[in-house]
Amino acid sequence: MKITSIIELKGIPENAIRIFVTRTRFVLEYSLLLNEEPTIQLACIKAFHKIFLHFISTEELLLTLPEGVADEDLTKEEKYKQWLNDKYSTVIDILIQFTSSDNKAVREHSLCTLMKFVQQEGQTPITKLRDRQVYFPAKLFEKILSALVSDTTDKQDLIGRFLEYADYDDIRYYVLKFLLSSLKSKQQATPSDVYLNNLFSLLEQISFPQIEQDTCTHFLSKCPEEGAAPKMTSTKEHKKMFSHVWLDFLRHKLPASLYKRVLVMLHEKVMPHLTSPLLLSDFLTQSYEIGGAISLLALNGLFILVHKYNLDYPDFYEKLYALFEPSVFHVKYRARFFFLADLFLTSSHLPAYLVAAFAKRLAHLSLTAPQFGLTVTVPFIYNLINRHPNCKVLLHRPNSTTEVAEDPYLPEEPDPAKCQALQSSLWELQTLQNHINPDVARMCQRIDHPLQKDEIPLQDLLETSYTELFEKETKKKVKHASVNFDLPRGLLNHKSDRFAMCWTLT
Amino acid sequence: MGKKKKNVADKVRGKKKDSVQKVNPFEVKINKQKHAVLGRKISKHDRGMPGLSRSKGIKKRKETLLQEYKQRHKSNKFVDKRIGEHDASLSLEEKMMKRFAKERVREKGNKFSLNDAEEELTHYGQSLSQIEKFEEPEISDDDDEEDADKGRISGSLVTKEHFGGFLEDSNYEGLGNKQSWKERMEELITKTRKERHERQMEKEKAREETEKLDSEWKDLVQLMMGSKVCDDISNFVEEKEESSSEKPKVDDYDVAVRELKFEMKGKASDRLKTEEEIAKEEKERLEKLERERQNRMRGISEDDTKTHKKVHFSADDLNDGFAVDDDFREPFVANYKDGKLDEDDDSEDEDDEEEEEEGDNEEDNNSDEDGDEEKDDVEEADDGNEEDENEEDENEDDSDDDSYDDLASDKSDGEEDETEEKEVNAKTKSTDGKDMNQKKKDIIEAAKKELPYTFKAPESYDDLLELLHTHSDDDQMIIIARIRKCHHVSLAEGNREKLEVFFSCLLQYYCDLALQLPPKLTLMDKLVPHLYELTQGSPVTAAQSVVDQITERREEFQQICDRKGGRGQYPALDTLLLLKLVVILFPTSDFRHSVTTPAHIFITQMLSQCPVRNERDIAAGLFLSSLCLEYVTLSKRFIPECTNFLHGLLFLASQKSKKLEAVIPPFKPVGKNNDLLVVNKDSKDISIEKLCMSKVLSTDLDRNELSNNKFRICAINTVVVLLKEFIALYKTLPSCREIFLPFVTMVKKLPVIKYPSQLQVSVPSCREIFLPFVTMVKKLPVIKYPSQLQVSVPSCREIFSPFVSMVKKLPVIKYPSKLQTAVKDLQRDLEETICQTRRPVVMKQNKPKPLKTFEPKIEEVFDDKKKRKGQSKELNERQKMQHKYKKELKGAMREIRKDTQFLARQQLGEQMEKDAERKRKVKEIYQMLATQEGDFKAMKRAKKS
Repeated sequence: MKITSIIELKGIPENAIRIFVTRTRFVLEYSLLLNEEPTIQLACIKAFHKIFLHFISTEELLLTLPEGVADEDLTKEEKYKQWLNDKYSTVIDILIQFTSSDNKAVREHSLCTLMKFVQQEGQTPITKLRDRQVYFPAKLFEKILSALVSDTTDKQDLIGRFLEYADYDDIRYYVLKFLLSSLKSKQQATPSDVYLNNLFSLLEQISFPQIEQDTCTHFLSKCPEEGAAPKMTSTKEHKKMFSHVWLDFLRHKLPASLYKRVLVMLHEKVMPHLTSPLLLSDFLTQSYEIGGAISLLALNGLFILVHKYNLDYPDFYEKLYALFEPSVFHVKYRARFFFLADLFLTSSHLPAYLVAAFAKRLAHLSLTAPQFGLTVTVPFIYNLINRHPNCKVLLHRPNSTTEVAEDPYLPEEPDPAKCQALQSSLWELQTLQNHINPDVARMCQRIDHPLQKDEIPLQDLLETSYTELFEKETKKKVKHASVNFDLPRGLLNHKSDRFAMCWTLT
Repeated sequence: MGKKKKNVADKVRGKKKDSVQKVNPFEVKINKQKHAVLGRKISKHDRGMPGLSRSKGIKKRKETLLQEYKQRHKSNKFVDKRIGEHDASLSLEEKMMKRFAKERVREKGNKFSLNDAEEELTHYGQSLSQIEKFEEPEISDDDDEEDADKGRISGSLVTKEHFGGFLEDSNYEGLGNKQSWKERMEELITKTRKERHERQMEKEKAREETEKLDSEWKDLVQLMMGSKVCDDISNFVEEKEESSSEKPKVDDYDVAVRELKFEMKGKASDRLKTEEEIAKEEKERLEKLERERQNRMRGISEDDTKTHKKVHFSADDLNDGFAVDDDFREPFVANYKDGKLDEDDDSEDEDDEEEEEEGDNEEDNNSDEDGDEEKDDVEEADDGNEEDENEEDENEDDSDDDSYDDLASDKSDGEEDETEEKEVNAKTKSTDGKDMNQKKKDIIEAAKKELPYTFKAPESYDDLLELLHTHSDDDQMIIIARIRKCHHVSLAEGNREKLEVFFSCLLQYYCDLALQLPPKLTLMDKLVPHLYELTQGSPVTAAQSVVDQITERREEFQQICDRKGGRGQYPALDTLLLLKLVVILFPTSDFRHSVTTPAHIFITQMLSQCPVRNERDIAAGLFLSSLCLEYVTLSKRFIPECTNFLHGLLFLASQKSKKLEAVIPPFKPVGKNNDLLVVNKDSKDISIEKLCMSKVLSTDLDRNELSNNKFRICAINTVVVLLKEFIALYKTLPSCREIFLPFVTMVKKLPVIKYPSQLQVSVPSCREIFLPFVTMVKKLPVIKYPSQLQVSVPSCREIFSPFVSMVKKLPVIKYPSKLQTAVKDLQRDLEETICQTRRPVVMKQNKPKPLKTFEPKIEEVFDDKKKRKGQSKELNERQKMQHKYKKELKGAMREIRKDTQFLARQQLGEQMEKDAERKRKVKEIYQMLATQEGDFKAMKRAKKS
């Protein structure tokens, strides 16, 4: 009987809502009792949604009580309103509980309902406004956010739903405000990874409009009056808060996966909106020194700082030199890395020893690189030598008659200035002339002749993979195929067979 | 009207006068050509009229630029909207005419004009304009000259119809009422057409008949002629008979003579070749093939070699890519044929190689001959099969079996027993009980006896399966052989296509055999020669189907990779054996080959993207590495992925220290699988065996079956053997030191002491081969070598250097002593390679340009154009565009310069005009003042006086 009553609630006509007030109480108790059944929970949420949106929009929740009025003095109407307000706050509590439910639909629906309440309250506030004309229901919103940025449960998927509201200026303001205070409270303690993840995914949502204006006008709630809330409406203030939140956030020790996520989006989504991007230089230089994929990712942001904001970073090229290691071909961000490295080494004002060191190191790496890597490295080396004619000795050392017993280049030396690359030669490219891939071999055969002057464009080569190499070879229909001319006698045992040394059939 | 005509005539005459414009010879400037060249297009700029063009330019500027100049301070604008005012193509008169016409049209619109409609001229109540349309008699287009007049409308019709029929006194009006004029004309047309058709038919008929008569007549004539001769002869004979009454006896001698006369003369037949000659031919053929292979390996196509041969510079060469006629050259080139042509560059290198090759070839020859003989035998046997009875057939099968078994025994060193056991196992597995097995055997035997001699070539894979699945292995072979025999290319058209389909089905079958449990490797082994011969028959389609198979498998692999974030999984046995088949069928040494290149890309991809998780992965990786070795044994090409993988395996076998090793992905410095190959206890007693494909590589392997020391020792042995081979291959590479250096340290870390002694013995042989080579290199006077070899010798150390450290880390002590020594030898090898010296890289020097001579350059087909050198299309296009741009830019600049000149002139003129005006005015004032002054003085004087 009870369940049927709830299901009935789904289709309540608007004017008959009052009749259901009693039932509301009923539903409330019921939903608290029967927390496990998701269908009932969903039905409850829908019911709350309908009932309270109606109440908010008709201003029935609006209660204006003068100060110091005793309960006995209230009129019936006022008592009713007070009761309704009570119920409303319990509903909100329930909904917030629901946001950490196991059922996905329940979670999302409750969050949506809450956000709808926020929106509606923004239009028709339920409390009497003071002289400051801000309509936004800050308290309710804070409650929601503190539920979302939870310490214990991962709510990233739920936060993803936030995206549709992220555009609004007031939402951005209050989210930032909340995050700032939340981070302040955690300043001393080390927050959990879950908390940081949640926080980051919320922070990730925040975006600034493409065309920037001095004042914000795009509000979810009713627009505040002119000059009523100067902090909320000025973009400058938003940016200031944004910078603070980010800096506070980056001060914490981030888990590795989160670290990468942060670095990937940092230069594009965060840097342009900070009050002063140079504030990030500490963070970036630290992460650049960690090594591996993280420093690879920090490279991009650091480059922007050096390039646009005059950051002076003395060991930049040494660090970059250290990043060239065999695993670089197997990382996900390979294309980005080589693109940036090419960009850094474009300058023709770099000293010759430095460029030679990079070229030699790349050549050294090429000996262990997979095929697709070689399609990048070899043109890369050519480009380097083309830009710096002083480095041509790497490919052409005509006057030396002595044989060298050992490569003068020191591969273990971390300092490009001391690695003696200029005394060496690129024997590696000569070796690669015998590479199995015909394209690579052809490319390396260029060193036998004077190099062509024009640069080889790298853009198309950066993303090559085995798939592309393979497709390039197979896409053409076979027109001519030479065949072997010695008759095999079986799987093993033919002319050039080396298999029999290690393998038997059965 | 008459007046108008006159006007038109005048116009024409006037025009003619205009067109014969006299050119003032003083205005023409002729650009003199220094030399007249035949065939050169006369350029547009040979003559010009500078004065005229200048005045034209000025006029144009006056119309445009000057107008703008004058309007520059004005905001209002005067727009001329008169008709044709801006149309330069109209003359003044035409403009006026147009305007007039327009005016008239406007006037015509006047409703109340009385004489607006022009009077229509009629004849017999019809407007003349309509009648005029049919003035021309209808002439058919395909009429011949002879019946040109036949096609015309008959005279009566003309008189009837033309001019409304008023020429004849017929009752026209009545007719006209019944049919409309149009209908009548249509009727007329159809009538004439019909007539014409009939006439044509008649003509055709007549022609046919005359032809028929002609042929008959010819026959008749022939008959008559024959009969005449016969008659004559018969008459003659009769006369003779009458005279002699005795028949002349045919003389035997005459007969013989005549026979001899007409006998075909015996042709000179080829001498039977001696065996040596045959062998020699065979050798030459193989040598030729080998030479071609070598060329392909270096990436030189046949065309290249041809063109390359032409390159010979005479002392008188202009170095302009121009060569004297080929025919003239030919005998000259012949001297250089034996591959010694490029003596200048790398002759000694070549020589060395050739010597080696020759050695190889001889060996090959022997083996090949053997092979051929055997092949012949087989063929004979097969032929016999076709002819023999069924019972004999079985015997033949046995004999075939024997030969194959022999082969198998060669390879598997008396492991036959095992194979047999396996087969038996397979059989028992496939059937449920022994009874069933017995029954099935009976059935199979019955089927064997009924094996037909001809088979339809299977059109799909299912067909093939249907053909084969009930038969035993040997019968399957017979069936396949017979299918091939029945559909031999020379037997019928379309057989080639059938065999191609058959090949792809067989290939599929080959792959599927590898997937069966247990994999039927012996059967696959026997399939290989068939596949090989089918490939020889139609290489291109075979290549295509192999490529398709590989592509399919690679896509599967790629999907797994994408799903697992770029990490693959070693494939099943079928893929591995398919790649093995590629080596057998196609030459892996080619620089670029449509099958082997994709195949090795696939192999390297697997080696570099599949993490090693268990023993099976190690085995599969080792299989692929051995494949790599086989791919490059001839071409000695470098595969980084493969050496990386071997390095990784050494790492797995080594004892890890606390310091993290530098390893290359897919291996990780830290991980739970890093001790997969570490021999954990003393296993010196374990005997080293070769890895067995069917055991080690099967996918449904029990995880723990292989995780014993025996497998580890075998795997390490394989790694060591492969590494030695690779070292031998790559020691000529310039940076082999760098490549193998990490291995040395790794090898040192191997727990060699635990390894069996077998491994220790197997290695020194390799070392002995390797040692003299190193010393030899050092002794050779390197400078005399062509530059390529010079550099190639000294720097293999780069390649080996990573190996050194890896080798050092192997926990050798635990290995059996054989393996121990092997590892130690490997270590020594590695260290020796590292000690090689090398020369710095030097670019090849361009050949010095020969001095130019005065020998004329002769082109056979001369077109007077600058030839662009054979650049890429893109570059050519770019140059063309640049040229055009430059031209346009120059033109634009010239125009602008002229504009400014014009404006300056204009401004100067204006200024001068202003000045003159001013001068005039000043003069006037002075004049006035002077007269005033004069008057004044005159008055003064008058007063005075």
